[in-house]
Amino acid sequence: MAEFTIRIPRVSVAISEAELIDLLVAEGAHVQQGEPLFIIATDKAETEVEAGASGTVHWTGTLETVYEIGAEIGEIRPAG
Amino acid sequence: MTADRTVGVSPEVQRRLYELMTLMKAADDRLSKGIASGELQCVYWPPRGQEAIAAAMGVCLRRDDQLVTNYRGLHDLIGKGVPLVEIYGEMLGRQTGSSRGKGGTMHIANPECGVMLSTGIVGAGPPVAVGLAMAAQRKGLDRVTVASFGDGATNTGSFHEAANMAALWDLPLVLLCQNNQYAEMTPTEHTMKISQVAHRAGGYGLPGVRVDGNDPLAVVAALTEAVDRGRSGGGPTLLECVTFRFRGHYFGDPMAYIPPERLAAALEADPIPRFRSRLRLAGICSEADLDEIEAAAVTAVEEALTAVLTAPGALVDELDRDVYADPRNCPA
Repeated sequence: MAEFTIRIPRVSVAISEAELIDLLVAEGAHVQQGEPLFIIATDKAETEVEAGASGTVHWTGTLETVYEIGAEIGEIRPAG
Repeated sequence: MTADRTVGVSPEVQRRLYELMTLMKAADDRLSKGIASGELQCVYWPPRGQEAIAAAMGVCLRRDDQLVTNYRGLHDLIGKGVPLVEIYGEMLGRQTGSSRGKGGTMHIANPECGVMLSTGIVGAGPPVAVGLAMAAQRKGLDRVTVASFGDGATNTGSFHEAANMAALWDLPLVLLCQNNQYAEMTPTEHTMKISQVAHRAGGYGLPGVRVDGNDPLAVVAALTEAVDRGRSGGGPTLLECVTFRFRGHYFGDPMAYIPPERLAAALEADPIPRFRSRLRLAGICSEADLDEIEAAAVTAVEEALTAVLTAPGALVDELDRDVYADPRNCPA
């Protein structure tokens, strides 16, 4: 299976950007699909984002940075 | 709620209802998972929980019968036979979309399947459906039009104008209210004095019927009657199907306004597991049959999504196509 790109999700209708406020899985650690992966904040709410795939997490995004919806902030590489 | 009107729905039709309901659920689940993880970028108003109503439409309507639905229309579109590749394609802005990717989630139409309009404006659909039903009547066609909308839409002026005209002219129309108990973030009891949307029908001189919208057989029975009435010249019906939406108004809605016990009770009445056990207890489907139906739905959804994600994005050329007869002759 190919790498899964971690992106800032569209968690609400009328938003164009969100701030990356917490990483819940460390660089190089393993995550299971569906486990909490990171937290973003919009003007409405803070939202916990689940991993969209299982594998080893590699971050490219930086905390306390505002990203456009859809921006890449890392990837999940399949194990093995 | 009505008495048992479910006698006479054949085992084949009941199986088809479950196939449609599981396909609607699988399509919603995959889209929700994709949006939540950032994999898919689109706006979405989830109908999860309302599948029984749309599945009933799927087995009661002919292909040439027409439908006007709204932004919370994924289930209605599947029920009316719009291919998933066209629905997902439109939501994700791809050329496989029913409007070649330029319409978006709120504006999905497929006239070949009878889906004439999805509207993003609450209450905007019924008057358009009146026009479609009037056209069928004037042309002497025996097709029926269904306008699908929520409880909130019945508080808009356009709904009342539409109901009045449809009744006055005996139009072949079904005003299908999917009462999911919330108008965006406001519970129905805070937006209307009456206890049943169906009671509004009396004000216009048309039949008003209320059924359990989580029971596909009850909806089939009531909708069959309403469609037959319209097709045979008996005029319109207001059909209220009481249901719930499990994922809130828009995708990502934190649903802080829904009391937890109300949501828990609604989830307990999820139409899909309920109908699943009914089919098994009635001996219509075995456990293995049901598992197979669910697996087939997931496979169909994955295949459609793969086709959409590998398709090219909407073209800039599309922006003004279909807006004017010939955009080159119209000043921008």
